[in-house]
Amino acid sequence: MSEMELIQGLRAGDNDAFEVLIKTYGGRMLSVARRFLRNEDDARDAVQDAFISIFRSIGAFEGHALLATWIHRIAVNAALMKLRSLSRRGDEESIEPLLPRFRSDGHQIESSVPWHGVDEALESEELRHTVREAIEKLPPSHRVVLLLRDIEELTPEETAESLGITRTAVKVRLHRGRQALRTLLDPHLKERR
Amino acid sequence: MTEQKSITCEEFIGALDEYVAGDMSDGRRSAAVEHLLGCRSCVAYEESYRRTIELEKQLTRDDLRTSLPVELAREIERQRKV
Repeated sequence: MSEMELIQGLRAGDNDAFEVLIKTYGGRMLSVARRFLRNEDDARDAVQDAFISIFRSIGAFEGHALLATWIHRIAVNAALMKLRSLSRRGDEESIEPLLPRFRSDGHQIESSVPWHGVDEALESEELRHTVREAIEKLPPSHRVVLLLRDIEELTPEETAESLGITRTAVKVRLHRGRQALRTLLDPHLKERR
Repeated sequence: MTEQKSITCEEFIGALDEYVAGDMSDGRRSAAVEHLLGCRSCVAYEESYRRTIELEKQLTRDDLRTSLPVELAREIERQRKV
């Protein structure tokens, strides 16, 4: 079934088209939701919400973007909505312990050493698992910015708008989030020496 | 970080996001490169910061490998028909 046939089928309420939609895009939507939501039930809820949104709005899909891109964006938005509904003020751990520390003269307190074997390890499922776990350890307010900017490749403006924060906050959280993630990955990648 | 002056590790790492994105003025970039020429620790930090971003992006590989659990697919189909 071509993309155009799929869209026409969805608009016509064709059962086969919906089955193809769920089969084709459901898995990757769940993968996206899992990145944002630590809890599997929450991720599954977000996927259900995303599909409901798709069912309701497929008639409004104008075809300016690829169907996959449109669906992906809906999945990200559903995950963000779920994340927002779960977040509570004041219960977030500080990111400070994960940031590099400096002496009064501006030098690093602990010198950084090179990572080795990353090129070979890039294909490794084990390393991706380590990266996923490390991202999950980031404070949510930084994690979500890192996911939107580095993985979903939203612009700073889009990220700021999605989260209702300023562009400056996006910039600061992204940089601090990356530094914290680097700190969490450091022991694993130094061990490959 | 000011233009055309030597910078510390703290200043270099503080502006590393702009450095890797190529968002620095020529003057600031020169100062950053000058710092890297004399600081092995920041060379290692800069390289691992870039690697961190690369590793994040690898996670999208999982998207095409993930399948929807059957029971969830059934529930979504059920909700569509409601």
